[in-house]
Amino acid sequence: MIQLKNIQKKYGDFRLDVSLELPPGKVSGLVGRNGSGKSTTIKAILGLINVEGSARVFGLDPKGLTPENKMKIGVAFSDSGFSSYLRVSDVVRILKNSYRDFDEAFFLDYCEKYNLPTDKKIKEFSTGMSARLRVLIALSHNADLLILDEPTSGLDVVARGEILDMLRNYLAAEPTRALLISSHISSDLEGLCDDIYMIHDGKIVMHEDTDVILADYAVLKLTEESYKKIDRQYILKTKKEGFGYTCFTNQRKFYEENYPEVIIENGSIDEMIIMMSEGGEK
Amino acid sequence: MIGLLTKDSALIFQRKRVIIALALWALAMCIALDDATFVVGWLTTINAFFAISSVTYDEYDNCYPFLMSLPVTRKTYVLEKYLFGFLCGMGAWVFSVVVCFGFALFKGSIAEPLEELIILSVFIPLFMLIVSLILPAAIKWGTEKGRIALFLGMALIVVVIMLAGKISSAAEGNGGFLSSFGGIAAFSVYQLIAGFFVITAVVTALSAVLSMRIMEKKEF
Repeated sequence: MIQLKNIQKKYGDFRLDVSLELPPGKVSGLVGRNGSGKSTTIKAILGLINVEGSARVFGLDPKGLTPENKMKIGVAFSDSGFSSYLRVSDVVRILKNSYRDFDEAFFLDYCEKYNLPTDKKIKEFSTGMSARLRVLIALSHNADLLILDEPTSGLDVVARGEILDMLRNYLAAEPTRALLISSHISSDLEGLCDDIYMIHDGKIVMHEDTDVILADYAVLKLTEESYKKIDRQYILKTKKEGFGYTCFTNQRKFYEENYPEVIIENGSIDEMIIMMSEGGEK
Repeated sequence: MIGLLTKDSALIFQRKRVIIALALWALAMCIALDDATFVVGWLTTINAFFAISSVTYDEYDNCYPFLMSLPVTRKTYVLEKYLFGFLCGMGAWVFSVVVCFGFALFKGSIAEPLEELIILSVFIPLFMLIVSLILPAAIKWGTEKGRIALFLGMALIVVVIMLAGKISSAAEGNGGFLSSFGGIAAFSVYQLIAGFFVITAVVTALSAVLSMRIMEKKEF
């Protein structure tokens, strides 16, 4: 559904150079620190910026997507949506006149469920209400491809859970539906994504299945002495600490079996972000 | 396109108090002044600015990235703005004409309704000219700078006309400003209005093409 091959974009000193692929039925997460290039990548996918390289959505250049193609894409940004001067009732009329498959009953059901009043202006909504509305809009028209840029940004844990549940239900209803979601909140992605792209300084520094990250990646806590002795061929990144070194590996079992005295902590997407962005070479 | 029109209409009706106030003002002026040209001209041109304000709403909440992900092309977005501008102006024109003519017919103060209607029709191309001058600049630089572009554009037109008059008077030795339009005087008022419609249609088409090019290159 999405195919990016070395798409490049330059903003001053920042240079984006990204390749990624999202096949039907897959849920991919794009993680990275603020300013790492997540939103720029999503803008490139949607044809909102001019890029070099090859970008394809449904096999087409994003800038050449027709309204018919766009009807099959649901989009939510954290910082862009309908004007805050509109009411939900206006949004319903707009969506009805924009999308052939707009499911008004679904939309209004969820508005009621999430206490989104249809007669209030969006600017009167809380951050959580606005975020729910943006995601609900993306899910309201039977899209095959969802592209969500930081949809849970700024939300509390309950609101994030509600949005993630809404996404899971939507994806479960049709196995070919695909989702690309960017976030810097790793726990959101661990329970949702099939695979994770880690982006840092505009480059994909890691791409791995979520299960593999959780099972095989680990953080080793090493003293100066054990760091010198240990086999570092499977160490991806190293970070100097007060006690010695923190090392990030993708071969947890190797170190568990061969160095039982070493403290090994579970790998997580949070650790991955920290180590891949802050860690040095082994 | 219908979705975008629905959005812009909903946003304009956020100012329904202003719209009602303008409508009441038009009614009052019709009664007080009995000058249809002033009422129709003022109400119609002021509505051109209402149309432009739809671009302001799109800018204000950083709506562009999301709007461009809706099932519309950039070309459709631009065309909708011109169509919306036309509908706003036409709505105001029809309303003010109906109100003014209603009062005039009631008072029996209208001698040649068809002739008056044709003369009042000059405000239709006039508001489209305003829309066409502002929209490309508003899309490229934002509405505030767009308004500056309008004032600069109008100033330029005035300067060009004044220069043409001066050059003509200098060439003819006397006669002043109007004599420079000696050729125009040969046409009837109706022909001039028809010519204004044609010129505006050409300017609007060129403006729309320019706006589309700006929009195609724009990054969000």
